[in-house]
Amino acid sequence: MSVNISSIGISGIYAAEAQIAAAESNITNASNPNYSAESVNLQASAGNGGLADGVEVLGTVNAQAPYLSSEINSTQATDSYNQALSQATTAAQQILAPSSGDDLSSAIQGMFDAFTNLSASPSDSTVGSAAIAALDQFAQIDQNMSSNLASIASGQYSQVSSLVAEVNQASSQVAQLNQQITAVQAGGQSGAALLDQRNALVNQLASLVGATSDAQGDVNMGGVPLVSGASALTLSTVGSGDSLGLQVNLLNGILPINVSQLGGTVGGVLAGAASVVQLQSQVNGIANSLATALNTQAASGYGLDGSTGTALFTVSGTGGPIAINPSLTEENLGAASTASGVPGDGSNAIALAGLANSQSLFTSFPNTTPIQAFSSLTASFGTTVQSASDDQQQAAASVQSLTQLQSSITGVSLNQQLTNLVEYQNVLEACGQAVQAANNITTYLIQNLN
Amino acid sequence: MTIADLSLFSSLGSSVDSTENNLQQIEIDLATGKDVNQPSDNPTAYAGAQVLNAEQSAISNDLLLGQQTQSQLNTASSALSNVSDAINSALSIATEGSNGILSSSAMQALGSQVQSIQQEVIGAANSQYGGVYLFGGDQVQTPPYSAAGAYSGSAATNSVTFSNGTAVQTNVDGLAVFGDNSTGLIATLGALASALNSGNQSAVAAALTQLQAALATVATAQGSLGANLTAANSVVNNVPGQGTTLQASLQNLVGTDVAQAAAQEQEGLLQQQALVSLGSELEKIPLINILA
Repeated sequence: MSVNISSIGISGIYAAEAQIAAAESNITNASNPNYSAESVNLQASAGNGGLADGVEVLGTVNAQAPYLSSEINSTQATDSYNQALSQATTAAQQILAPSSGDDLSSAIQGMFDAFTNLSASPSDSTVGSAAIAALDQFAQIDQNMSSNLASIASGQYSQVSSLVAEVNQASSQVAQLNQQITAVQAGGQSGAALLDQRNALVNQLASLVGATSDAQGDVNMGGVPLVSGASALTLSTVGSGDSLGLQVNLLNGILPINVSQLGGTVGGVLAGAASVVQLQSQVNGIANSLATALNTQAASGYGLDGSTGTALFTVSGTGGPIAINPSLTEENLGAASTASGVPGDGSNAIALAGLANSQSLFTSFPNTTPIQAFSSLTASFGTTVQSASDDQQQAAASVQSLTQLQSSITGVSLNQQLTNLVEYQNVLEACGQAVQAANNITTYLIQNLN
Repeated sequence: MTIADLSLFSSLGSSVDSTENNLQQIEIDLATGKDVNQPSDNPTAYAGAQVLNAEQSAISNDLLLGQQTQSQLNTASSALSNVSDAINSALSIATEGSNGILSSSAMQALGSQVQSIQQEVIGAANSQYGGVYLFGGDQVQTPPYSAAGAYSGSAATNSVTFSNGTAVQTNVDGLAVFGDNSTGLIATLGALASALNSGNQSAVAAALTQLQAALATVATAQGSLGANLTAANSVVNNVPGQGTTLQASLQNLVGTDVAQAAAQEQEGLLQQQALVSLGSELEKIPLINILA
């Protein structure tokens, strides 16, 4: 039996060098969240008689936790969706319920208080002016709310194009990486760094549109393929405003996407916009119904000038915001009386003020007074905001917890790496000494055999 | 289990963020005195507070309107008292003028006094409060009576309905109380003055009966005003209690428990200090610091 001490030592030196290189890479990337710790796969070389004859470096592999990666992507999609939804609805909530307290309910109450005052002093022009100012305040708040909510929704929709561009860029990069990984792995390498890059991009796609991926790097979005091998399909927007849609461009045609099934930031942005548009419609609905009821009552009464049939508001009929009737004056305000010939008894002002207690003005909010209808809407929207915020916080905590768990498997512990480094340095030193010993033996044998 | 350095520090950072967010929320609660500052904090409570705030606005309006109504009715009541006094004076004069022993000039002097009383009554019937005439029915912006006692007011009256549904009449149809130059008290006073001036004793005696009827009419009007005033007083007097109840309900619904919030703030600050200390200790752990 012959043993080649020198070659065994040299193989150990190679192995230790590879391990030191992996440890160095790990240490360098300790703060890189997309990095998976690398390790060197070794295999004992078989010598004569089946005995170990040194060590062979098979390659470098990175730590993987595929199930956790998939869970993180899914939870990240939920987090991003709710974060986008929460941002839009929180902004809308500040319009619906401003911290100043000057919301639609205070304007409605102010209007009814003004009618009560007018009933006591129907001929007093100061009280009449105050009533018209209160009516105008109601219309102005509705207009401002409607306009601000439309602006929030528009801002949401305007984000979609740039998000779609991000999706397309990430999809294209995943396709390129798929191609490179296939080539590298065909050459016997693991492609660890490329896999890390692809994982990061898949996580980005999950966060953007709730996409999922398989082990080969094929990416799906709600059952629609985005990346298949080295090919990526492009996503594009269609339409605008609240009719904005998404589609995947196929080689021969298009595939419309059901946006209500989209996850991630894009799904959340679109859901947030839809929620804000619905809120705008509900606010205007309450304002329209109340204005219509007040118009009907006012038109049945008589002004101080004896005129009748004057509307208080202009109601669009298309669900838009209301506006005060520009020709309304203290004289023709139909609050003075319920009958012609007796202007000034304030009886119609009493009837107008009495609408504060009417529970049959709103089909969407049955059996509620105007104030109760608006507070019901506030409560309902508050629940939407609260739910999005709670879901987002829960998902964010889950992402953090899952990421920690994943990190315990694939992350870098500097302490561990430093310990490894010391061990590899010792191995390197020992192998060097073994080679030196083999060299000494060889030199001794040559000198003494001569 | 290996603990990656990145997750260790990231976890610490998240904990510090979370503690700071909690502290920030507690500080907002303490600053505003409310736990519920936006609908999403507690949708049901916020909506309930909106309804209570509207009720508070309504009762604040009731208070102002009620106080204005009280003043208006008190002024009207005072005017009616003056008119009662004037009628009693006229009754005394009529009694004196009807005894048949006065000279013609003395009768004329009494007639002159009655004319003054008539003007006094017309003046009282044109009483106003804050620019609002009180005895012209719903015609509140112009004097209801001319100097000659012609009535230009209205039979319709104004009333105010408070948020609890209480309706209070705020002015009076003067014609029903004082009459005018052809009917009622003002006409009676005119007739009495003429009778005294002309020495028509039977007419003076007839005026006595009419004056007594007028006195009863004024008393009835005063009673009616008193009932309205009582209703207005009741609304005004109930407002503070209603306000306190509403405020207590609001506090229960959205108010901050200051003691609890202060305790939570202390706990949060302690937590924050502990996390910062932990962070500084963590920096010492890596082997690189030991091996260096």
